[in-house]
Parts: sequence; structure tokens; C-alpha cells
Amino acid sequence: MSTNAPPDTDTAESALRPILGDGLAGGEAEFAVDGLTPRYVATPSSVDELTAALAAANEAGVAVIPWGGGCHMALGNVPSRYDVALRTTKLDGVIEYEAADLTVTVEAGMTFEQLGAILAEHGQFLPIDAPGQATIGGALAAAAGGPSQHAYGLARDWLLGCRIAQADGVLVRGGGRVVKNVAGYDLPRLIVGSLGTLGVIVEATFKLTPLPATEETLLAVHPSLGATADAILAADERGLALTAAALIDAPAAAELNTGIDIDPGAGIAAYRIAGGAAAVERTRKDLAALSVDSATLLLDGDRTASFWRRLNETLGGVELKASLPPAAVRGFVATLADGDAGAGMPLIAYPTVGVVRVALADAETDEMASIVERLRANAIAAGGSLVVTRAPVELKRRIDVWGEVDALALMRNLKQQFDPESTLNPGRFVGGI
Amino acid sequence: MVENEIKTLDKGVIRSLERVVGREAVLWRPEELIAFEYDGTIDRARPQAVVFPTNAEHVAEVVRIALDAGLPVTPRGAGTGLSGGAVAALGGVVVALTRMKRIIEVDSENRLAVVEPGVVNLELSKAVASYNLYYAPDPSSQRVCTLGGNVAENAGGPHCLAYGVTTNHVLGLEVVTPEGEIVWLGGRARETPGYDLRGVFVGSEGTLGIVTKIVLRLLRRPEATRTLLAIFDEVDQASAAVSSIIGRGVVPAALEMMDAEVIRAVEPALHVGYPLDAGAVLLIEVDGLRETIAEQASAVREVCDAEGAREVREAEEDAEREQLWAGRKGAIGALGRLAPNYYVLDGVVPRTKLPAVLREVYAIGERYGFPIANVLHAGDGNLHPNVLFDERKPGETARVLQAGAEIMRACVDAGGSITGEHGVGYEKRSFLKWIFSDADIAAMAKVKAAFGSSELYNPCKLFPTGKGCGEVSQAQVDRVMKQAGPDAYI
Repeated sequence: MSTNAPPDTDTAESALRPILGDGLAGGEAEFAVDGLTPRYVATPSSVDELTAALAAANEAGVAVIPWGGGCHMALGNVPSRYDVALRTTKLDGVIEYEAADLTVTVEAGMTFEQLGAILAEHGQFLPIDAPGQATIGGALAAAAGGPSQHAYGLARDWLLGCRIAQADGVLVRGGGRVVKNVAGYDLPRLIVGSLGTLGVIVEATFKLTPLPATEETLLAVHPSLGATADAILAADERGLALTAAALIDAPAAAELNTGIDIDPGAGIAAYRIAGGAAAVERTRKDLAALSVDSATLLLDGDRTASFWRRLNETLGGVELKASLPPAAVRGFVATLADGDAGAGMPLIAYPTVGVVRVALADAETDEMASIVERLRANAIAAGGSLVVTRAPVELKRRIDVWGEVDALALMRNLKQQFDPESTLNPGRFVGGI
Repeated sequence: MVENEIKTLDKGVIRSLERVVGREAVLWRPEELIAFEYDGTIDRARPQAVVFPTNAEHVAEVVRIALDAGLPVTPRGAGTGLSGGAVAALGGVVVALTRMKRIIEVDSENRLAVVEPGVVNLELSKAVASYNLYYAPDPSSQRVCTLGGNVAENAGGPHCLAYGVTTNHVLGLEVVTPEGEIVWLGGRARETPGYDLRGVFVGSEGTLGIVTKIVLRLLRRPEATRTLLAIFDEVDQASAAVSSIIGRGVVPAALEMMDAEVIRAVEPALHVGYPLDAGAVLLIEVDGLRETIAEQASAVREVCDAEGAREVREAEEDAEREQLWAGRKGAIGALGRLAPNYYVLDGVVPRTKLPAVLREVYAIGERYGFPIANVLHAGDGNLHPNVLFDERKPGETARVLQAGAEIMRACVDAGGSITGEHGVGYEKRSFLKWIFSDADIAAMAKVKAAFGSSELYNPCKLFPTGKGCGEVSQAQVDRVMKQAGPDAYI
């Protein structure tokens, strides 16, 4: 059952203490979401404990926010209720790793750093860009991703199967452990990007890919952001051995400390070159030919990994992410550069996959809200969307960070089916789900 | 009783349907309906009417009229499906999308196309070839199958190994929900905020709605392509080589396998150069930069040699490549030379289990006395055993289905799945419980409920249980038809 009135402290305590014992602690600011601090932090030590705790919370009308590495907690609208942070940290084991099949099944609390180390021993990796401290479950819930999607696609393309604890504590599995499978509905795809509003991910099976034999990064300076976008799209037309391509403006370049000089208004095209030796050499040559008028810098393999990891980290401040048809990136970036909105602020785009990330200058809430609305209108007009991925709570209370979405009625039906009491992440998802 | 489940289709309903789509776009005379009784599988059931809408609004109206009249609705593309997905299991109205076949837009800058569901798979690649683009998923039926059907089944094909199955290529969908609403799922960008309804709709086998527009990603044609044919004396060697190629870190664009039985059917029919005394052949294609494929091709050769290949041939010219592929694409069709009937199965196992599972498949065939011809999307661990039989022999069809079930069971026991690309459909719904618990299936039912899908909406598909399903036979349909009298049509 659930009521509109918040449950008293004893409700959460009496529901969860018998199940979790010492695994239930008082809430701390570290687990605050949009300024709301939970009264309790639950850290189950097994899947069974997690499902029992979730079922009890659901029964008692206690609102739960699943918590992995805490890396993506800025995403989402302000929670309408928040009683308990449910940590998955202790569920961090490998269930099955069949290196010869290039598949792995792990518990959702494992971090990307942990997983990466295990896979690297076999020369393999999971090509989803996520912070090292992010958990598997958290990254999937937030649909984490970055520049690697140029070659590797999205997180949803690598998830073969998953187990989720539904709000009522019942465990369900979707997908499987083989690389090709169309049996039943594709629940894994539904879960990716659902921000923990349909269930708590407890286990995931991924397909994997071999680590590239060699890697390097080429940076090339172009006189404007538009010219940078054009250069990247021209390189893409050639089908070169690239696993990522990014456009970086001057302020973002300064933060990244790229080691290459750039004037205000200019842009850097960054190319992650990967593959066999001959393909890498050919690609480097072709890119050099495309960048004859540019200052260039080549980063070796070691520096390549850290460069691209830092590139995908937060820009700080209020951060927006536009998802566009690729050819619309140039125009979208131009409206930022010409207008007042993002001018002079850090901007990173992945033109080949249609992603633009931009930070906004600090300003009055009203002004920020109107900038967001204007940029969102531009994104929608270009056939895309815009999500505010990080913002102060005052701004979040003024705007919907997700914007309007199609088929909201169907999405509400889904939420109603999977979490009728709105126990999981209430209010944080699209349309107030 | 089952009879209660089958409503009669009176002339009033036919007139309503005709008012929406026009008289020539509604078929209801029994002799007109025969061609719509089946798809590519064994199961058959006759619809009471077939309607050919030409736009989303008409689809929506047709769906509402049928459901209001208490009639089941079953969407249908080209009818080439291989799991009974387009079979009107409980009769009712078939919504055939084949007249919605416009390519609405080709946006070469964004490498996408917007198409109607009746566009034939291969026609899209032809239409965008002048932009140096193509549509990657290539089911063997690509000359006939429709993109709407591909979306419903999440169709695969040989080149899905490197480039992914249909779902990896669908950006957005306009669909008519089971309640007759027109909504957009996804869009023109790779990601849209909210639940990935696009992702769950693809592969839902026509149980969550009817797709009326599709936004598809197109790929740039690779700079170069190489096709190799590796010939092995033994099936075991070939299937071990598959695992070794992938394990070596090479992901070919395609990695297909055909066993001796298939070669025996293909070679005399198509003369593509597969040796008749081989145990199995692998057809391996690598594409991309010239430099990349040179490296990959030599790695593939090394692995095949190490696994005991008798010979590794490489197609030098486009014509040779096409010939090697003609053998693969025509494989299933050529099986008709070996037996009057063949039953195509679709299972998946982890690649490393391929040798053991193939041995089990042959053993099952021997136990039942059926030859089995195996075609595999081997790189994905996706098997297509074809059980060869003669339906005219009494009892043989039933035994074939039993042998098929045992093969599916062997795939599941090896940690695999009951379908890699053909879908669960009507045919395999009772096997779903082998891989999913009741709770898992209940979660899928929640998705179905969220889309407003009722018992009448594409009934008896995908889910193991359904009102009246598994009980209706053509004989029962015929009986109801007689009872209904001359003014009603079933």
C-alpha cells in the first residue's frame, strides 16, 4: 500500500531492519539527490536480501532510489519522494565469463574499472564509455555512453540479457547469454535508460569485443567549430579505422589540457584511431591529408586511453546533451557559437553520432530556463531532443530535464504495470514517472 | 468451447472495412483467402478476411472495426516468416501491409531512410545504392520479405554478425497500437528520452501493434570486401574453426557454415563450386578498409589451416563472390531436391558449443530417421537445422515436430535460445518456458498490457498460453463456418 503522506521513520526502519540488519544505516548527505537526503541507506549483501528489502519497501510505501557508483545521480528530475538509497555495491561478482565466447555475466554492482581489469586479462573489453567508478547497473540505467558509439554503438547493443528485481521484489530475466536471440520481448532494451524506474538491475550479460591491437589519437585544429564538424564528417565518409571522433571547442580544450594551442572560436577535431598496424597507419595518413592546413598532435596509445576517458567526463556546471541526426550537429553548434547561450562555454560534440554536450554559463534560473527551452526547440526542430544532464535543483524545478516525449501514455502504462506504487525513483523520469 | 472464441464475420463488418479501404482492398471469399492461410511454416489457419490498408489512419480504423466486432487481428507482411507469426491462428482479420510500399525519404546526409512497412528488404538497398549506402540486415528471403515483417521479427541474416540484427538499425517507428492509436516510438536520432519503446517493439512479433512507418539506418558501402570459402572434411573441424576465428579477435562481416547435406542439395542445383565430398564449408566475408581486410583475411586463413581445412579459396572477382553467396542464399530453397518437405529450425548456442550441439543434432536426426541439413550463421552460434521429410507419409509431420522440439531442447541445454532470428511465433510458444520462468513471462505480459494488447490481438503468438490457443484446428474453423450460414464468412 502507499499513501501520499510520507511514511514515518519507523515504517522504513521496521520494514527494512529485520531484513538488512547492519546493512541499514542512517542517511547521509553523500546520498543526497537534488538536495534531498534519504533517511536510510540500505546495502544488501546478496540478491536475496535486495529483493526482500525492495518487496518490504514497496509494501510499506517507502520510496527507493537505487544507487550504484553514484556517478549518474545528477540525471533526472527532482524526486517526488526519497526515503531509502538502495546500494548495489556488494553485488559485485562475476557470475560467468566465457572468454572464448566473448560473453560475460556479472552482478550489477561491479564497477567498470573492475570489469575492465578482468576482461583486459583476456584481451577483451566492453565498449561502453562510463566512468571507472560507475557500476554496471548504474551505467545501464542511465544509458551511459560516449564517443565510442561511433564504432561500437550504444550500451543497449551490448547487453544480451539482464535480471532485474521488480518493485515488488520479484526477480525476472530478459534476453539470454547468447549473442543472438529474439525469444520473447526485448526487456533488456527496455531497461537500458529507464533510470531504475522499472526495476533494480541485479545482473547483466554482455557481449564483448577484442581490444584493438594498436591505438593512437590525432588532434587537428580547425579555424571554426563548423569547419571542425565538416572535417570530422568528411573523415567519417572514408570509413577509416576510427573508434571515436570528437569536436572540442576552445574552453573545453583548455579544461582537457590537450597540449595543442587553439584560438577562441576555433575547434579541435579528435580522432581515436584503432586497429591493426596497417589500418592505423593508413588512417593516420588519410587524416593528415584531410588536415593539411591544421596544426596537429599525435597522442600515443597510453595517452589515448586517458584522453578519451577525460573527454567523456562531466563538463561541470549546468550540462546539456542534445541527440540529433548527425548532419544537424553543425547547425546546432553554430547557433551556440553565434548566440549568447553557450558561447564561450565548454562544448564537446560527437558529430558522427549526433551528440552535442555543452555546459551553460552560470546565470539566473529564469535566464537558464529560457536558454534551455530555446536550445531544446532547436534540437527538436532538427529532428532530435535535448536532455539537461546536470542542473541545480532550482533550475530542475523550472523545467523538465527530459523535455516532452512521444508516446508518454504508453510509458506511463509501463510504469504502472511494473511499479504501480511508484516505489522506484518516483518523479525522476520523463513526464513525472 | 473453442467455437465461442471464433466470431462470425457478417456482411456489416465487411462493408465497414470496405468503406475504409475500398472494395478492392478487402478479400473475404473463401477461395481468395487460401493464399493467406500460411506463412513459411507448417501451421495453417484461414483468416475470415484480409484487408490491404494504404496508410496509418486506415490501419487504425481497420483494427478498431475488427476488435469492436470481436474479431482477432493478425498483421502480415510478405508471409515469409518462419515461426507462424502471420498465421491467423483464431481466424479473424488479417491486416496485410504489402500495399504500403513507399520509400518515403532517403536522407543520405544522415544515412537514414523513412519507409513504409511493405517495402521489400532488398528494394531499399537498391534504392539507396546510388548514394553508396545500403541496408545491412539481409535475411535469406530479402528479395521478398518486407521491412515491416523484419521489424516485427527482429530479422537477422548473414551480415548481422558484424553489423547487428534489425533492432540495431531501427531509429524510429510509427505504429498503430492495439487500441488503434497512432504513436511514434524513437525518432531520427540514435537516442530519444524516455523508455526505449522502439527497442521493445522491434521483435515483438506483431503483438504490440502494427508498424506503419520505419526510420532505418543505412550504412556506407565498405571500401573493399573479400570472400573466402574454407573447405573441411569434417563438420567438427569447421565448427571448431568458427570459434577460433572469433576467438582470434576477427569479427568477419559474415561467417556462414553449410554441411555436407546442404552441399549435396546446392551444388547440383546451382553449380557454385562447393566440393561434393566435403564435410562442411565455411563462407567467410571480411569488409572495411583494404588494410584491415588484408590483415583479417590472412588471420582467417591461418586459423582455417590450423583447424585442418582441406583448402581455402578466395573470390578474386565480384562475379566469383556472388557465386559463392548464391550457394548460401539459395541453400534452403535447394533442399527441395533432397526431400519433398523440409522443416527449418532456428536455434542459438554459444559458439564454443557448436561442435557438440551439431553432433547432437545429427544424433537426433538418426534416432528419428530423418536426414538433417544444417545451414548456420555460425559466427553468431545461430543454427538452422533443416529436417528433411515427406508429409505424405502418415505420421511423419508429427514426428518431425517432435524431432524439432528435441533439437530446440539441445540448444537450450547448451545455454542457448530457441530462436535467433525467426521468432517464437505460433510454432515455438510452448518452448518459451524452457528459457523463461513464469515470472519472466509475466513481466513480458506486463509490456503487452501496457500497449493495450488484448486476447484478440494477434492471438496465440509468442506467449505460451492464450485463450483458445492450441485448440483451434482448420476442422474446427470449417465447422463454425458451416454453422454460420451463407451470410457469414469465416
